[in-house]
Amino acid sequence: MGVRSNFAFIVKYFQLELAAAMEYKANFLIQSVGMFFNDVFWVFFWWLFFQRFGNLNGWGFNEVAILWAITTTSFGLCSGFFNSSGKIARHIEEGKLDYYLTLPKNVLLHVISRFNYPAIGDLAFGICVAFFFVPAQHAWLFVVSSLLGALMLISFGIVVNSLGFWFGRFKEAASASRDCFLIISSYPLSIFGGLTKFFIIFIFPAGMVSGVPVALMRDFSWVWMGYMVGVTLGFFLLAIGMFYAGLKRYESGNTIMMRG
Amino acid sequence: MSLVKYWHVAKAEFHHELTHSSNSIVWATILFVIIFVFLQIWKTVYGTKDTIEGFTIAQMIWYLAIAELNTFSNGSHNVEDMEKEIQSGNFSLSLLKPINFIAMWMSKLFGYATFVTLFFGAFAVVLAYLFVGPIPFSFASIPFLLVIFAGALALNFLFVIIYGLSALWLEQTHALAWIHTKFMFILGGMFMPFEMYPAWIQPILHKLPFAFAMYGPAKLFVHFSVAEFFRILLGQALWIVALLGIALMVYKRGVREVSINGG
Repeated sequence: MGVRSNFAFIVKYFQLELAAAMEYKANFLIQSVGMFFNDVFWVFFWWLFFQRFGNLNGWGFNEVAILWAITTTSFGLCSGFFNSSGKIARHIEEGKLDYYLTLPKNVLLHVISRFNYPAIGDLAFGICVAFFFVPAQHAWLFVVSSLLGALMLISFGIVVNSLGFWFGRFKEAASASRDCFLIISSYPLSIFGGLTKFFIIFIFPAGMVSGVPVALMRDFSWVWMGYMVGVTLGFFLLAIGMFYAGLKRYESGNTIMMRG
Repeated sequence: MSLVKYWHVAKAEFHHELTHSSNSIVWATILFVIIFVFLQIWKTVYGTKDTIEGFTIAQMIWYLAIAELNTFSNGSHNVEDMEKEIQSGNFSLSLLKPINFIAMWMSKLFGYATFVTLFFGAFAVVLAYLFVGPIPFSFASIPFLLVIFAGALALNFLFVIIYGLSALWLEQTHALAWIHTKFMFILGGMFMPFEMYPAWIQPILHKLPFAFAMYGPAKLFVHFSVAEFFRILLGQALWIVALLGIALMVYKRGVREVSINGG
C-alpha cells in the first residue's frame, strides 16, 4: 500500500469515526470542553506558581505556557487520531489483533488509528495557548515541534506497547510508561540537570516533545533542531521495527467478536 | 439494617485489589516519577533557603507524598465503573437488591482505599524518606491523623458517587472526573500547600471542600496541632453532610429517570 492509499484510508476512517461521534453531539462537546478546561487548570496552576516564585532556572510563565501549548497539541494529535497507539499491549494481551491481521490494510496503521474525541479539547487548547504565547516568528517552530511531538508520542506508545509481544501481560506497565513520559514532558526542562537531563532528552525522550522546542524558541540552534528530528525519526523507525518483529511472535486469542 | 453486608462488600473489594496488585507496581512507578519531578522543582525553588512559609524542603516532599497518597486512594477511577454499571443496566437491577446503592459504593471505595493506603502508604513513606530523610513527627498524632484521613476519604467517595450517578443523564462522565481531579490538584493544594499560593486566593481555597480532602490532612501530617485537627474535622463534617445531601438528591432523581427509561 502506497502513502496515498494509506492517507485515503486514514481520512475515510476518521470521517466514519467523526460521524459516529456526531451521533452524540452533546457528549462530544462535554468531553472536548471538559478536556480543554482540564488543561486550563494546569496552566492556571503554573500561573499561580510563578506569581509566587518568579522563575525556575530562567523559565517563567511564558515558557511553561508554550511548553503546555506544544505538549497538548502533540497529545491532541496523537491521542485524538491515533489513540490506539497506547492500547496495543491490551490488544496483544487479550488476543484481539486477529481482526486487523485478516484485512488488506497496513496492520500497524489500522491498529493505531482510533479517534478519541476528548483529545480534540487538548488540541484546541494547545492551539489557543500558542496563539497568545508563541511569538509570530516562531510559529513555524511551534507547528514543526507539535507534529514531531505527536510522532514521538505515537512512536513511544508503539515501542512500549510492543514489548507486550515479548512479555505477554504488559498493558499496565505500558500505560505507566506512557503516563510517566507525559508527566515529564509537561514540566520545565530547566529543573533537570546532568545525567537526568541527558536521559530524558535522548533515552526516555520526553524532553524532546516540548522541553527542547521551548529551549529552541529561547535560543535557536540547528544542531538541536537536528537532534530533535533525528531522535524522533529514530524512535519512529524503532517503533515500526519493534511492532513487526513482535507481530511474528503474536498468538491468536481465538476471540470471537462482533464489531460495530 | 444490617451493616455486616457492607463490611463484606469492603472486604471483597480489598481482596480484589490484592489479587490484582500487579497494577500497583504501575502506580508506584508513577508516584516515584511525580515525587522525583517535584523534588527537582522544589530544589530549584529553595536554592539556598532553609524554609519557605514555614516548610523545609523535606516537609514539602513529605507533604507531597501524603497528598499523592490521598489522590491515589480517592477512587476517582470508580466513576467509570459506576458509569458502566448504569449504562449496562445493572443499576436498575441493583434497585431490586436489599442493599443501599450509595452505602454499597461507599463500602467498595473504602475497601479499595484501605488496600491503596496500606500499599502506597508504605511506598510513599519509603520514597519520601529516601529522597529527603525524616521530618519531626509525633507518633501520638497517628489516631488524630487516621480520623482526618477517614474524613478525607469520605469526602472523596461522595464526590465519586455524585459524578458516577451523573451517568444517568450524561453518556460519559470522564470529563467530570478529570475536572474534579484538577480541582483536587490545584484548588485542593496537592502540588503545594496553600501557604505557597498568592495571598489573595488563600482565603477562598481554605473554604472549599477540596481543602478538607487534600490540603488539610497533608498539612496536619507535617505540622500537627490539636487546634488544626478540630478545625479540619469541623470542615470535613460540614462538607460531608452537604455532599451526602447532594448524593441522595441525585440518587433519588436518578431512580426516577430509570423508571422512565425502563432501566
